[in-house]
Amino acid sequence: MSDTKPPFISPPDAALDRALDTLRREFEALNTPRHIETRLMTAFATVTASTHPLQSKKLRIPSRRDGFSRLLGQWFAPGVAISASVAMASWMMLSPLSQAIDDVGTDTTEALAYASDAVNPFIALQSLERIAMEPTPRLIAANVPRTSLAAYGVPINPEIAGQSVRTEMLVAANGQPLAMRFVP
Amino acid sequence: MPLTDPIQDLALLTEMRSGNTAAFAQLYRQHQGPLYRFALLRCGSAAAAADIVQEIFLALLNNTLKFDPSRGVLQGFLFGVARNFLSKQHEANCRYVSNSHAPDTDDASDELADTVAGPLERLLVNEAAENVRVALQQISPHFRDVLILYEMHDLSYLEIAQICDIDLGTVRSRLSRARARLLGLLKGDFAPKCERNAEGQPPPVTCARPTEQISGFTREAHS
Repeated sequence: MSDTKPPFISPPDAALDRALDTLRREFEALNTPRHIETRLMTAFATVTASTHPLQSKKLRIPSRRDGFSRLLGQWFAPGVAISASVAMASWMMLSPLSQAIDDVGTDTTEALAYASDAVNPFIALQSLERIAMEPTPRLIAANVPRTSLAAYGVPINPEIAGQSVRTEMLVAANGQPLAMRFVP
Repeated sequence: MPLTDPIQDLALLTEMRSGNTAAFAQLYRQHQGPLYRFALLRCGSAAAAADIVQEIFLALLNNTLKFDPSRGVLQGFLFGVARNFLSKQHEANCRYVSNSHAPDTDDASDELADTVAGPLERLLVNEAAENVRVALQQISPHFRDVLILYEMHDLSYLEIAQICDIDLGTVRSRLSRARARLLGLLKGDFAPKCERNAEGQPPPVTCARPTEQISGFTREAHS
């Protein structure tokens, strides 16, 4: 042994602990390369896509415990959806807004004012399912150009087409308009 | 002491099995680090360690691993799986490198690894830490497992016993002998294996970085 080397003062175990501490500190920063996570996420998406649709499509005989409602839900859901759509369309046609439009003719402003005074109904801009699913809708005031109302079937007087209409809009958390009503 | 919350792990596992991508991502991020570091210290190759982690999580998402929560925590289970993968890998390497593969025993002669299949990579920038890692690499795998899990991952004797499927007494004895062996290697007490085994056979690749005296470790101190 060379005398030039420093004497070892600490007990051997303490030196070993120090050495292991050094290794531990160096290793703390090490992680699996990022591409492994990317590969695994891709694999997970593949596995999920291949297993879960099959599970949902799997035919099974409903037990008594499942109840009759599940059977109804599975077989009559499309019919119920169509009926609901027809009912909604009928309600909108018979609503004060459409009646006002019919009564007043092409004077949209008066018709809308009348509707707003009567019931202030909302016009759905999205499907009812989409509106019902929105957890945090917000009501905001907005001036809508009359020209944009044509898309919703509202007749427009060309003389005042450049003006805007005061509305209240029900918007989703991401800003998507869900429903709208006219404010006098 | 588990590095992750076992209850949260279970919840994430359930969510993952119902197809929740975020749950799988969180589960991966919580466990990949310890598993990777364990595999890296155990096998000494960054690429092989990354492959081991990938294999573990692929098996987890393919449901080929049967985790039973009543028998332990997920983290210990995953360490056990990693250890099994590494053992298989080591056995496969030994078939090519050496014919004298020793079984998983506690013989004193088995405290040093026979060979390391492949050149040792330099993994750490810090010279002192890299020397400790290389010395650790020269300890026999079943001693190394216990030492890594105890010293690097702060697991308890009981957790290590479950992971390695050995009893508590064996954990204690292996840890004690592994520490003594590592200390000896760091002091340079043990000659490089290429000098001991040079009987007409090619030197094992562990000799690529022969054991050297590390600063702070001297023979005088040991004697």
